[in-house]
Amino acid sequence: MMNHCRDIELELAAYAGGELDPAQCERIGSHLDGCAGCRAELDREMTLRETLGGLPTATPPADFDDRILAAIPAAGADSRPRWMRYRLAGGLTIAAASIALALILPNLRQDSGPQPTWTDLEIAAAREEVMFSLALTAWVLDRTQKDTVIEVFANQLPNSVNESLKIVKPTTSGGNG
Amino acid sequence: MDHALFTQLLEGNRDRIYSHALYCVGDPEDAQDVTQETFVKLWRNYGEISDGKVSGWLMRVAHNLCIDLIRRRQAQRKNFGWPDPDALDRLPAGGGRPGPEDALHLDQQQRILLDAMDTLAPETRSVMVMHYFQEMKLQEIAAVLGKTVSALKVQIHRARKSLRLVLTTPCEPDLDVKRETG
Repeated sequence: MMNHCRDIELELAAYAGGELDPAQCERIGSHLDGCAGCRAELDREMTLRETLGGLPTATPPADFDDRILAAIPAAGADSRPRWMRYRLAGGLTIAAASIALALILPNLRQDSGPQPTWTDLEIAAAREEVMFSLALTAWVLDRTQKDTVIEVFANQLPNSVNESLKIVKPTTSGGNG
Repeated sequence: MDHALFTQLLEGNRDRIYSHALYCVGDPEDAQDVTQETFVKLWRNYGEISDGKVSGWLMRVAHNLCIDLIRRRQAQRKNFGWPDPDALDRLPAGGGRPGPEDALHLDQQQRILLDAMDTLAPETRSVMVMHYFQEMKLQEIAAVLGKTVSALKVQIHRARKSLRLVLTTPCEPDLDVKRETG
């Protein structure tokens, strides 16, 4: 019976809120008829419902809309102090990744000769360094704010990193063919 | 997102979000911060929100911001070595910070219940406000928060058990006398 009462009590919020189907309502109603404990629990549910349901809708100060609208351009420009910190962290990491690319990739270029001078192992190691920098970027940004990751990757990967990765790829295939 | 649409969404949802935040975090200034941050996020992320889901999206963001704020507040209290006093002892006192009761005309039962809800987990408090104050169906809350209806039923059941004392005991006038003299 105890377990049955707990099952009923679990349903009381939905029961009082009219969220159950007629069959469930009937089952609970018939239990309540014979169970003073569950009726007391229903009373508490109704008190909760009436007390919180009767709270007035609050209104912020009259100039609140102006405050929000004033914050919007700032948000668009990412100029809030906290946001700037995230941008700075992301920017520094991107810069580190770019430096790594600048140092590594010129040595991987194979524009003048058909045969690569770098082994697949070396290319794989270089690629790993680049990917580590990118992973570090992702990790730092992910630890700070998720949408910043999306923004940075969307804005900067296609122009800088993707082009660099394209350079590495033909070299690898050239070594095999 | 253009300003006209944003202003329309702001006007249509502002009081609902602000009220939710106020009854969750208890402090009007914090509630304004939560509301502002919620709408700033709307401005930034509007393109990612499915049609017809702005209302639920706003509620979810406000819910998460309220939880973060309450947890930060609890962590500060813990880090500064302020033990949380027995909440039931200070139920009618209203605490040291301004609460909704200072900004709104609430009856005694409402003040007592809101104070008692400080003892609930932040997420549970927010769910309670959604269900009982915002009158959101369990199914709606489940959809907004990505939870199951069963989980919400358990959460509300436990909260009701925790609040049993204030839900059962009728308001006693001498509670105020005790507070003033004690």
